[in-house]
Amino acid sequence: MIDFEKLIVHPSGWLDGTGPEANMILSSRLRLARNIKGHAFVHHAKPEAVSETYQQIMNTAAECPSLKRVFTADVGEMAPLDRRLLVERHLISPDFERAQWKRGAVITEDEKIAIMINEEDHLRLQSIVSGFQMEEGWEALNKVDNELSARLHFAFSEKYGYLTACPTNVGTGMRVSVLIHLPALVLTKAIDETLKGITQIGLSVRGFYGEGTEVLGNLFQISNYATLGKTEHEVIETIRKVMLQLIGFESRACETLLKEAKTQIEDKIWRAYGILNNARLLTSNEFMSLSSALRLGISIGIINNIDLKSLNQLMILVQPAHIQKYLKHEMESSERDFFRANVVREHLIKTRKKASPRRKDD
Amino acid sequence: MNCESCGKHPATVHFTQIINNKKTLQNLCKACAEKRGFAGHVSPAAKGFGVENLVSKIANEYEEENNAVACGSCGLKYIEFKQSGRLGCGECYSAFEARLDDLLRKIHGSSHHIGKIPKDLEPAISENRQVETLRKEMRRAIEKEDFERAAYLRDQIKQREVKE
Repeated sequence: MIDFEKLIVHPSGWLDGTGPEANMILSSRLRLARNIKGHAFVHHAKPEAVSETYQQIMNTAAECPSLKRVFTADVGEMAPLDRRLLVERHLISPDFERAQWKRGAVITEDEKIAIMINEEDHLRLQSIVSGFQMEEGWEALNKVDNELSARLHFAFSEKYGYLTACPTNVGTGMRVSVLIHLPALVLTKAIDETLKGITQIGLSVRGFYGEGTEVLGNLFQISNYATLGKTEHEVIETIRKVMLQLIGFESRACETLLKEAKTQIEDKIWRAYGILNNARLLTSNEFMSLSSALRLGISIGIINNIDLKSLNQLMILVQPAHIQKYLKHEMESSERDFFRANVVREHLIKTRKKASPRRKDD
Repeated sequence: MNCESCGKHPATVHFTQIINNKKTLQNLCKACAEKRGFAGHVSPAAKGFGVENLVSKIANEYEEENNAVACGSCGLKYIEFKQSGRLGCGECYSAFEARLDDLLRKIHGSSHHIGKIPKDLEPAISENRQVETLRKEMRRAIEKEDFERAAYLRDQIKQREVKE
C-alpha cells in the first residue's frame, strides 16, 4: 500500500529543480502505452477479464528488478482524496482517477517510474525526471519496458508496432512531454504565435495536467502527437530541437523585457514575492500565477533567497488534495485558501536561503 | 484502372495536386473522391440521368458494408469503432486494416512502425526491415538506370530470403 503520510512530506523527485535548463524546463516526461497480447482492450473487456489482467500485471511487476522499491495500490479501493493526490503529483492521469473498473498503480519510491494498470491501455508506463533530460527518462523507461516484455507478451504487429486501444497511440506508443515555463513570451504577447508554430510541426501544447486542462502559471506541456512512422529517438530529437528553440525565444523575450521594462518586471516579481510571503488567503490559481513571477525572478537572479527546488515543492504542496492531506482534514475551498496562504508563508520561511551578498555594481 | 483508395471501383476521378513543386496524381473512384471533398465537375446533362443519385446510393451501400465488418477475435464492429474511436483488441488492427491505413496516415502521416521491437520478435523483424530497405534501394537504382547496382542488390535480397 501507499504510505501517504510519507509521500506528502517527501518531495517528488521530478521536481527537485536539477538537470539541464531547470530554470525554464521543470520536467521531462515520457510514457509508453502497452497491451497484453490476446486480451481485449480495457473498455471492451468483461470485468472478470479486466481483473485478471490487473492481477497478471501486478504479479509480473513484482518480478522486475527495476520495480523492487515501489508503492503499489488498487486504485479503485483508494479514498478519493488519495487518488486526487496522485493526480496532483502527476503519477496517474485524471481519466484514470475517474475510471470505474479494476485498476492499479505501481510507483517507484523516488516517483520516477509510475505504471498505471488498466488505464485506456493495459499498461501505461511513465518516467518523469527533473529538468531537460528526455534521454535519461527514455533509458529508465526502456529498461522497465524490456523487463516487463520479457515476462508478458505485448500486443505488437510488424506493420503497426505496439497495438493500442486508440489508433492515435499506435506504433511506439510513446508520448514525450516537456513542461516549460514561458513567462516572457506570455508577457510580450508572442506566445500565441510561437505555440502556433509548434502545433504546425506536429507537436501539441497542453496545460499543466495534460490533455484538456488549462494553462496555469505560464506552464506549457509540449508533446509529440504522432506515434507511428518515427523511431523513439527521432521523436525525442525533434522535441529536443524545438525545446532548444523555445528556450532561445524565451531568453530573447526576457532580454527585451529587461531592456525595455526593467522596473515594471522587477515590480511584478517583488510584488509576487511580497504577496506570497504575507497573504492570508490564496486561491490555487492566484498561487500559480504569483509563483510564475517568482520563478522568473529566481531564474533572472532578482530573487536569490529562494531556490527552484523549494518553489517546485511548494507548487505541489499547495494543490487542494495535498493541503488537506498535509493538514490531515478535509476542507471547503474557502478554508483551503486560508491554509494555503499559511503553508506558503511557512514553507518560504523554512526553506529560505541566506541571500548571497550583492555585488557592489548591482 | 481501379480506385487507389478502395481498390474496388473503377477510377473515374483523376486528381492532380502540386505541393512544393512535387506533383502527385491520385486516381479515385467517384465515392472515394467525394469522401475526400473532390467534388469534381459533372455536366448538367449527366445529372439529368441521375448519375449523382446512383453514385451516392452505391457509396452509402459501400459505407454500410464497411460498418458491418466485425473483428473475428473480439467481435467489435467497425461502426462501433467509428463511434467510440477505440478498438476492441489487438486483432482489430488486422480486421480493419484496409480502413485503418488511411486513418493512420491522416493521424500520423504514416501507416508503418519503424520504432522499437519487443526483444523476442527482434531478430526476424529487423531482418525484414533490412530486406525492405534493400528493395527500396534497388528500385531507386533501377530508376537511375544503374542496373549493375540493381543486380547486386537483387542478389543481396535473394540471399537473405533464402536464409529465411
